[in-house]
Amino acid sequence: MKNNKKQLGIAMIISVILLAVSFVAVKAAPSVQDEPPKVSLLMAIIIGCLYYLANSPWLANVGFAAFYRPLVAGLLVGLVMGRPAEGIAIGANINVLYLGWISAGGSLPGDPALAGYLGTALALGAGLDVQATLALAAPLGLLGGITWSVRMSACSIIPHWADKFAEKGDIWAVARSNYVYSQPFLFILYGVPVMLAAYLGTPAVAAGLGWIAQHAIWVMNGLFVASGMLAALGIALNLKFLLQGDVWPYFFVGFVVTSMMSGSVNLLMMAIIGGGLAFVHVLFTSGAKKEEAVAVETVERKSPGLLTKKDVFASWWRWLFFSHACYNWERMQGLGFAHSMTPIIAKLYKTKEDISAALNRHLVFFNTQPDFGGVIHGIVIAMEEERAAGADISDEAINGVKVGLMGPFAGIGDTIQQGIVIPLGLAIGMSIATGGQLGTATRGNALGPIFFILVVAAWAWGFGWWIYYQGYKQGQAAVTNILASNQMNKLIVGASVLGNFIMGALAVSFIKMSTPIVFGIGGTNFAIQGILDQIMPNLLPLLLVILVWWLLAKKHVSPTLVMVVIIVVGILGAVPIFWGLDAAGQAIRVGLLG
Amino acid sequence: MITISNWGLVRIDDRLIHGQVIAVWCRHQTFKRIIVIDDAVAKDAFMQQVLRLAAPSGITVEAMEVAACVEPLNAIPNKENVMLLMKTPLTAKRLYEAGVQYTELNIGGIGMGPGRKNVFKNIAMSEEEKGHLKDLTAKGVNITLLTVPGEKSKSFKDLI
Repeated sequence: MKNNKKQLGIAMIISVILLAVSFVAVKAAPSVQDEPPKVSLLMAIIIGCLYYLANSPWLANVGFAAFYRPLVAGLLVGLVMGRPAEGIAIGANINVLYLGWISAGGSLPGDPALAGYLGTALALGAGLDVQATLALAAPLGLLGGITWSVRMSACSIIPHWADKFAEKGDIWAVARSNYVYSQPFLFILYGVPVMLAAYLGTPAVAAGLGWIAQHAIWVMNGLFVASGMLAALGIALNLKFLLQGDVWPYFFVGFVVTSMMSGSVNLLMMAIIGGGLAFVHVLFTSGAKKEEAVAVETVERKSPGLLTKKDVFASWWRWLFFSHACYNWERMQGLGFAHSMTPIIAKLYKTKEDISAALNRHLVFFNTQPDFGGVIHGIVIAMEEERAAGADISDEAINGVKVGLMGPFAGIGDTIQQGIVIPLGLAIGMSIATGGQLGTATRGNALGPIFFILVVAAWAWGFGWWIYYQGYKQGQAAVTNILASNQMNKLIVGASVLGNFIMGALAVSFIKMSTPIVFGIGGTNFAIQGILDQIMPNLLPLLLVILVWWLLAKKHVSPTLVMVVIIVVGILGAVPIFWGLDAAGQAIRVGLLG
Repeated sequence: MITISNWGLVRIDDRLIHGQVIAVWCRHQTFKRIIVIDDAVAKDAFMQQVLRLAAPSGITVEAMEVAACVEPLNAIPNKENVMLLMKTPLTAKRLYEAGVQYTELNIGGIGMGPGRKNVFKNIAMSEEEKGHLKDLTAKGVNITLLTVPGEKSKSFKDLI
């Protein structure tokens, strides 16, 4: 058991050192050089490895929750290529599209990490203007969907090996199946294609952009326009989740407040205003639903004393790291669950039969949200302990708890983690990274991605352990104590108020859209944008967000289609054959009467 | 002649209410009620409370036994705002045969278990369960395997 803590300690120290190094390196990085950095083979290999790491279980659950996001990808790729500040700005820019990205129950719409790692590498290597990167990276994200289903199908084989080890009562081989045997495959699936694409793709993209610069410079303007509008899609996707019930007005409040500050705001300050509004809202509505009390045991469980807090911790960190190490269609996190139980089984059961039975019991289908669902593990550990102490607890009873609770806890967990913690952390992180100038800032600040990683880590490590241990300490009563206190509901309602408010602020500061059209009537020029600004500043971005939200939420148009349409409209809109566009695709003047 | 009513969603999902249902389906369509058709859950006050707490605010959750659900279900006026959730194909067949008719059946997730084989993504079923679904198809029910809207789907007819 001593080993466990040591390993965990080392992992944490490495993470902290990496963060510190990245921060120092960014500060010390040379300022912009004119030549874009060339992607060497070594750089490409490291970028491929980083992409694999973001998909791997080695980062204590901040891999998928943080390193998977383009904001962090931009920092890391930037560091590798010697342009951290530019990398961060590019990563933040790409991340706008994935602000409202939610993966529920193993379904995965697109791949933010591929857009982030490969997109940043291509953009940096080809010297692409930050403002145009999103339109380049967005289609890359779609490719990631292919690897996902390969992964989920192929990893279905490994649990069958684990079944055989379980028959033999080999606890540690079951654990190895989860975190060792799955990884070479994932490395090849994720790491290698990205290495090749970064190495071979960058010269191609650079050559393509060079050709465009010479022969069709208007395309660049189209990419700028498309990138600015794609932000609306990212925000609308989030609103599809947040714009619910009676909290929707806060979106408009956030929008107007930010507009009044002429768009350049510190998002952390906005978050504080939003937090205040959330508190007042919850205070006056006192949460949404009231639950009638159901008579459930709420007395603290009496532990038979076979396990210590240390054992629960040993189980928790295995789950924290390896819940999704061998995620697959057949049993989802089933092998991950069994792995998390290995230290418990090793301590409680001594005969081969008992060990086999316990391993088999936990190798079945399981799927929940990893942080929040940890309460289930805690409860199951408590039940196993009582069973080992002689209590009459059947396999069905244990499985019943797992099967019954995994769904509901995934639902609440996804709502809180993916719907609120990650998007808000990202939004603030992106704002810090770009000094509130997203889309135009060409150099970013490393504090942005670092802030985001810390938010995610605090949630996964702090809250995750707390709820895991509560499950063990209280047993089934933990469920009702955590849920029925109505605190959770207040938290969700309050967070949606804050979320809507922030999305309103982002609609102003992230979306770049204006019309350059000028009408000349009888010698006097009328700029359309000026007239629009007199009605209301930032009217076009607001209308665009509402339009995209309406298409997604009410008309059920797929986000992919919206994305493609925005890019095509952006580029085609800049073709210089249109009346009033110059060779660069920029509107010069639309004259009516001279 | 039987009048066929249009439910908001009739879904087989052995995890009942979870992320896909809350974060995607309930944002995709307007639901006011989720009714879990399951004999065990209908007798389990604890599980019912857990499910109620997991559902988004504004959506009520009830649990009914197959034997006792026909009349109350058929009496619901606005069926398009109701989601019927079941754990197994057997329940879906029993529900239909008991007299609750539906034209569309969504299979969202059935976990691997003894006798079951993986058929599509996170959906597994035994030969017997396939048989139940075939019976429903024969009665004109259109069965689709789909986790959440926007994902790849598969028609049950293509499986057999």
